[in-house]
Amino acid sequence: MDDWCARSGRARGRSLAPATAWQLARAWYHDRLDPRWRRKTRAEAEQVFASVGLAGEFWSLG
Amino acid sequence: MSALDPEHALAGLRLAIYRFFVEHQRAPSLGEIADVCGWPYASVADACEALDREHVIVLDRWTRELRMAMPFSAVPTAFRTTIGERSWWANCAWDALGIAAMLGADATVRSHCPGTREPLTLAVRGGEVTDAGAVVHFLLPARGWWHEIEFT
Repeated sequence: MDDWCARSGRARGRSLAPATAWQLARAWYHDRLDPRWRRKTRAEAEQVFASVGLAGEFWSLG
Repeated sequence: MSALDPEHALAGLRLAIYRFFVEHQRAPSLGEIADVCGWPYASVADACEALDREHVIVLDRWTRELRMAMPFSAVPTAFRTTIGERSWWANCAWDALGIAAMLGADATVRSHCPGTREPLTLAVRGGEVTDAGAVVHFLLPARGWWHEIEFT
């Protein structure tokens, strides 16, 4: 990962275990086919991130 | 044009886009959306621009046809989600898992390591994901995701 980031000229971001990424995917997309779905507010989105343990500056939308 | 208020009309159009993706495993054209919804083409185009501004969908910067209806990608990417006999392109690993989550089904996600080009597979079985020793990497901080959404 570090080699790829270096070749891309980008700083390394954040790596998630597949299980965590799956929890995030479920929390984020479980209701996308619901007719009542609406885009999350910034606070709601950050709450979703926090619910799967993703908090701090990297996961802040502000 | 539908007699519904604008908010409900947009919500209905959004859902029609997603249902088309699910059924046909590809993006609808604006013309196809117009046919499905029974709207004039110009109304569909305007509505899609509104959804794009709200970051609900992403339109191609040149053609103004559908580029993303997250988690779906309208174009081939490095992320492919398969459920049974059906497959869809996803925008990223998160979205590839998101297709499985959205459809509530066992799925196989195929991609490759960008560094080594080694094929990678994630399997969702019975609501759990197998750990193949891979990681899901988020390159950009969250506040930067929409600055270059296609890169993100």
